[in-house]
Amino acid sequence: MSPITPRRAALATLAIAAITASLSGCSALSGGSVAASSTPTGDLREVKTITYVNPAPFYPSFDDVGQCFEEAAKANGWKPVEVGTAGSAVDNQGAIDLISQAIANGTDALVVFPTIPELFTPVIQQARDAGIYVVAQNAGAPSIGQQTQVGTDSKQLGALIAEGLGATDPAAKVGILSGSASTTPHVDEITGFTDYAAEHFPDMTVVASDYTNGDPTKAPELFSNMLTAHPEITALFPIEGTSVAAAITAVKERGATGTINVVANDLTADHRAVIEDGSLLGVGEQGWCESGTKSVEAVKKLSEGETLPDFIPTTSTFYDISNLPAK
Amino acid sequence: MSTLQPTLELRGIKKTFGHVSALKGVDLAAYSGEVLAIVGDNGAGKSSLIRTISGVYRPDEGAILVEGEQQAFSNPAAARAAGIATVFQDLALIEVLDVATNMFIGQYPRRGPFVRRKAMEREARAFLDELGVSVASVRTEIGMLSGGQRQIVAIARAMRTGGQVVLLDEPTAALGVRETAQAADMIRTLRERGNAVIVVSHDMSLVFELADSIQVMRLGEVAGVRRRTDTTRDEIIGLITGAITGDRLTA
Amino acid sequence: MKNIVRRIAGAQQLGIILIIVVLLVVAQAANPQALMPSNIVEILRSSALYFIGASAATLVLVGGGLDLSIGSVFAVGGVAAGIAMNAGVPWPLAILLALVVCGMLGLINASLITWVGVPPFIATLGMLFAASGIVIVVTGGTPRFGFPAAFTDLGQLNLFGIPLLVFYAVIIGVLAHVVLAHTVFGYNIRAFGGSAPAARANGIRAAQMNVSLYVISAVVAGLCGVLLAARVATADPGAGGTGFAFQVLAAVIIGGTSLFGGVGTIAGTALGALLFAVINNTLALTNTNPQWQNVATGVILVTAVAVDHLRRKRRFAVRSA
Ligand SMILES: Nc1ncnc2c1ncn2[C@@H]1O[C@H](COP(=O)(O)OP(=O)(O)OP(=O)(O)O)[C@@H](O)[C@H]1O
Ligand SMILES: [Mg+2]
Repeated sequence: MSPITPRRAALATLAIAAITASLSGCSALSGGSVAASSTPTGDLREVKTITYVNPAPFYPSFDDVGQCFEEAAKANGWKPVEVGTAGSAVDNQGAIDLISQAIANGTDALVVFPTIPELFTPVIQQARDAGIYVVAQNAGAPSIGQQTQVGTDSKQLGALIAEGLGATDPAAKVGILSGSASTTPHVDEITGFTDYAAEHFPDMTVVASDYTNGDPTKAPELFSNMLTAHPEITALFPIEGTSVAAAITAVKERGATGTINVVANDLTADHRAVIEDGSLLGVGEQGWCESGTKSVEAVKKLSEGETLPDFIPTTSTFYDISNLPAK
Repeated sequence: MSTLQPTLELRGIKKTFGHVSALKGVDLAAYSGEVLAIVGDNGAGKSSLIRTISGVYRPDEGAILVEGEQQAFSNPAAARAAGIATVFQDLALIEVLDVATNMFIGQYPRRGPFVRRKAMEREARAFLDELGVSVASVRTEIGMLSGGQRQIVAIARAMRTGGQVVLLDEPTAALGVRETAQAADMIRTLRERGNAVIVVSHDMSLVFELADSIQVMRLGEVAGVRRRTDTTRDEIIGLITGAITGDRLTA
Repeated sequence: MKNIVRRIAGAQQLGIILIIVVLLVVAQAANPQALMPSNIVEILRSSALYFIGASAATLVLVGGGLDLSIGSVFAVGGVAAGIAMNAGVPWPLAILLALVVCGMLGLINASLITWVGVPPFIATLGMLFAASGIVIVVTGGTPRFGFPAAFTDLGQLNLFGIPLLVFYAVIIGVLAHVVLAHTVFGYNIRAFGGSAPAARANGIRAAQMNVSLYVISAVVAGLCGVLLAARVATADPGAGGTGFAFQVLAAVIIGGTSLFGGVGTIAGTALGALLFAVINNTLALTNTNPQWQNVATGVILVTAVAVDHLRRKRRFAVRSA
């Protein structure tokens, strides 16, 4: 067993620090926006293969996106290819690698989900340079090189949830747990939530926010600490589906069921069950399937030379016990 | 002597490592109440022989007999169970554990699944005192002892396990004058207890002081076996270096 | 000489206790809730699962091994119990089933390490990936829910105002301590971790040792997954993961268990697990940017390993330099 000398340990630490610094430097530098909408050219590429790079194959809602994407692509007579990263957390680098591979494999169109838009800018630009149609989902930033964006208007989704919560508790003091401070859809959703609250419910405020940093096992602890630090909290808003159960548990462990409401995203089967039993007030449901279908439609239009708007929204809905759709 | 049954007997032991033939058909006989010294140059196969007897290596060919019964040791535990205690050349002590634990390792005094710590410490202390070994506390970690102290502890451990056969591979290699004398005393004690003792050593004065018989190894073979009373240093050194032709080759 | 050594040996644990006390004082200054029994209970509850996992990990590390796969075996435990209960299996049987499945994964780890000779880091890293992949494939990424109340009670109820989870942690911790410090098995673990060749030469069997350690490790990790599923009434296929594995290992190492094997105590591990919970709690109560938790973890971890290294060097200067 080779001994680790203090000198070696120090060198390793320095190296890691340097790498981290250069990585964060990169993403900070490449934030600038790149040319937006498509410029119609004379010879339009014919679409034979269309690739969807699924950002979270482990999350059931993205299965819906993928299925609707495939159906829509087949309806156009195209060959749909769906690829996704392994594991149970969002893997940005993995997704970028998959996009590079799709480019190399000669796909004609790409549907991608740039979780942190700046990271995806170079590879999207690379795809555009190769003449590939690129449609982004929920890119957040106005343009990072894709020809259009399809997906949830995260700000609108946040606003919907604020509206849904305000109907029950117009003076809610809210604690929010999101993935990380750099997850654009989460940031936008929180902005939409606070903006809507400021305008319509002047007494509703966000009093605490924290991040799971991709570790859902920590969520119960984070919520529990949040409730201790902020006894004034009357509502919890776990943005990630994987921390909803933790929020409900934290409320239950305080014996505060009924006094602290929980609102969340996505009408999944487990969320439906807790809405029905009253421990989840409601959810903002994104137009998952719609975003798959509309992405394909967008590519179709691009291949026909149409110019598209920067953003094609899908429709979100707030569901609670009063309007829960049948299964 | 040849009329007696050897406590430990080896017949035609062969062991190869890849293309290195470490043991090429080694015979050996060790008797109760006697010290058999094994000598030979570096790489002659002495440690390989010790490791084979103690179950660390399995011989490719040949037989090991204890009290006339053939044995096949598949691991060191089996050899120990058959009454073979070993002081390895690298001592096989565990630095992060204390003296008492090291002395009882693998054979702790126990009550059900529990180690009887107090009894173990008491026995270790008593045993070391009896041998006149100076170790401040049996709770001292081996890593904090000097090389000589470690060697003495390793020998004490082999004595404590009290097999009928005790193997010592270079027990005095790192020892000063005082400790060497102490180790020699311990080996005499073993002989007096009636153990069959096998000592590997490069130290000729020690060998001639202690041994009843001397077995010379050369290039994986037995160059000769002599009663100490029937031989001289020069003859032994000649057998070691090959200046005197070994018995095997004349036969 | 002896006193100095004692002091160096004790320094690390003392350091952790000191950090914990300072953090609690800081938290109390910022928020009078900090030292209230209710907050202490929350701190204990937060550290319970990590401590349970870390108790088993301590045995593995002291035995000279390493088990990274606990992260995904955790998910296997919760999800397997969830699937079984959803299929109508009574909950005690479902738990048993889940633990057996996890035990088998531990057996695979042990077999690869013992009989194939794959280094523990690689074998269990492979299992970390493979098991998490299988969980996602089997569940389709969908959480399991709808468990009987008796099952969720296991993770949610309190006894004398203290969560059952804390009682489990104490029971498992005491058990692990007794095993490590007082049983023949524990002595063998330390001997093996201290020097595998020396232990083998003294007749301690590597195979038995590894099989026991990796099976215990996997079963306990699975149990943690089951308990989290009970606590949040949901079995999330993404639970555990590298986050759990690394935090558990960090707690063990910060608690003074040597990465080189042979040395470590459950009491130290308990302090390590507690430290993390206190850090998180203090950051929350002082309204500090939560990202500091990762910074604190990193700094304390490296400090702990550096202290361990220096301590060894000083103690065993004769050999291990
Ligand atoms: N485990 C092993 N693998 C490969 N070769 C080995 C092994 N053990 C011993 N050998 C080889 O076998 C031969 C005999 O070695 P051994 O250690 O038995 O000699 P020795 O007589 O004890 O020497 P020394 O006096 O230096 O201790 C050497 O050539 C050695 O390299
Ligand atoms: Mg040798």
